Amino acid sequence: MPVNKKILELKKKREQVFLGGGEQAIQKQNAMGKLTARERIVALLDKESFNEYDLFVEHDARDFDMEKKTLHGDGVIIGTGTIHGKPVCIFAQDFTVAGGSLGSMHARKITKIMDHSLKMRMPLIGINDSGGARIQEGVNSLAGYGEIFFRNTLASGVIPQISVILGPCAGGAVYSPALTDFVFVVDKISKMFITGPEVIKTVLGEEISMEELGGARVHAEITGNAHFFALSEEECFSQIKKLLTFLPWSNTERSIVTEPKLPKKNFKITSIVPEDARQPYDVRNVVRSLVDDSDFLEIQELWAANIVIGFGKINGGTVGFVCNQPLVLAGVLDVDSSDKAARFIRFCDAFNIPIVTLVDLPGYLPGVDQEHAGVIRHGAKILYSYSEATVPKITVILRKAYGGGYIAMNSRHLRADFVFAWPSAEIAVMGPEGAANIIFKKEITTAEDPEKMRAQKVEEYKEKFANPYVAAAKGYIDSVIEPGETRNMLTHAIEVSLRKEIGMPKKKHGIPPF
Amino acid sequence: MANSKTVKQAKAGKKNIPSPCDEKGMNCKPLQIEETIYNTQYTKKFENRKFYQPVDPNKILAYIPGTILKIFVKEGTVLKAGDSILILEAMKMRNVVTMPFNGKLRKIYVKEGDIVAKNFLIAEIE
Repeated sequence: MPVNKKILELKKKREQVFLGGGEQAIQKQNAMGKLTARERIVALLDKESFNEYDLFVEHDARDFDMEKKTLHGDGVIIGTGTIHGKPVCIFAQDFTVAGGSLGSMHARKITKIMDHSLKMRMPLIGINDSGGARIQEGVNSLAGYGEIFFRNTLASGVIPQISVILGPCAGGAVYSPALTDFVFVVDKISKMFITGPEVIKTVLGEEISMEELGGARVHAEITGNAHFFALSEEECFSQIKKLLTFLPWSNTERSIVTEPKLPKKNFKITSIVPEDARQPYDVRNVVRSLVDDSDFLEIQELWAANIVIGFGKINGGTVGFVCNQPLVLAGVLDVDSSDKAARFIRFCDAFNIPIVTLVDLPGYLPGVDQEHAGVIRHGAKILYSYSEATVPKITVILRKAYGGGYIAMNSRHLRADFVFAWPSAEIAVMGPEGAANIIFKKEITTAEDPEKMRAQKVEEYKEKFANPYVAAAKGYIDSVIEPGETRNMLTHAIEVSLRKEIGMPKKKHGIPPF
Repeated sequence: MANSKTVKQAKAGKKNIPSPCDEKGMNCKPLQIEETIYNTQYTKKFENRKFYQPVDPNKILAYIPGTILKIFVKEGTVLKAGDSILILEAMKMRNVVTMPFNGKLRKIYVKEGDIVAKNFLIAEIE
């Protein structure tokens, strides 16, 4: 065969495989409002940067007449490409081929690209759109999932791992995304659950739709399994690209440093926080008044909104923010907000991202539901994560910092590098009303006018203790600063803290209160 | 009494504190932490939280959702602790629900073939 003919043959073979499950299946996929796996890769990566591998891999199932079937690429596309000009590894399950079902060769393709991403230290992006295990392949399919989970765990904390749920992701398949760092979901397209509505109906008699059980909103608002929620696949891809501007490519690198920019002028740091500690405000505006170009990328925005986490840049370098949100549930810590913050702190620590903590909280959320849901165990995660973190850790106390909440929010005692407080800060064992009632109980109950006495004692306590100076006198606060000085103080504090060298006791790994 | 006090305080708190977030249509509500009432938004989860119900030892509840496969006893029977009352099948397991202590079975609220949700009241002991 002449060379030209051989090249033509290759081109023809490629074109066949590019069609995945065929024209009809592609039309069906598009009719569901979904892009095909190939379209998704093109939309996400830099133009013409995708290099595909294992294009001609075929399934190896030999039972149930499977040997007579051709499944192009075995239902998954793998390769490398670039985002922002930097290389990434990617796989995308192709729902048009046997419903994107996972057989042994399908899994082997995924694990091949996972191995590359770990070996070559590049982020891994997995696009999930699969009906689940390929039943005809039996235990080989299960083995495939296991190999994937193992690699997710091995790569955890070494390279950033991103999961994009663009279709069903059910049963055991959900555990790969759950093991990765960031999960992206799209309204009406993403579906994640362990047991589907049909099983729930037959076994338990409960009727529920797929959307209500494990739709994008459910995971963005109720379970916290998803980190980013988008209304369309296009929006989802731009969220991924945005996130990658804040991340390093591996745990031995720093994030991309951008041109420093001042915050936008409409975010005035001096006029956001009300003086009355009982009044709410949106702490995200404080963050926006501190970061470059007021550009703050919030993570898990819709879940446990009483704590705010996300990335911004200060003087061009990435910073992870952890902030109490007085606008929602007065900014209390509870089960979900502890989980949310703790995992984020560990991500930042693993990937050399300095952490800035903005504190304004009244304490922990009271209630039987919280206690019985294990707020002790979950709350402990924040203490563990902060204590363990060795990246620069800077705290700014904006207003209230009461009791256990004060300790948990990266206090000096958990080895914060710098703790600053605004003049409006109140660092105390509890709120003035509660403290006065306990300390001056006798005076209040025996007074002629107990209410008047109570108000007087509350004022007295506020005067003496509801300020930053008691803590500053002990050196628990390094500096009491004006709000307008915060950005400069943070810039300098991060710069010097990046120089620190601290050791941890030798151990295989700690045992965090999961 | 403790409850009515909390509600009263909360209402008073809402009245006393001028609320910028109400003015801006941000739908703030009072939340009491220790003795202080804060002006803040609720989350859906917080609004839907279940209040604690003390456990009544005389009530036998389904500890798992499932199907009532077989009922062994009739209402009014006097039973000893450990005696079988019925089989609650769930996740292909046949769970025998037994008497927690000696007593008379006052009422059975299910019949064979019923599908019950978790914490559904199955039977009551006198």
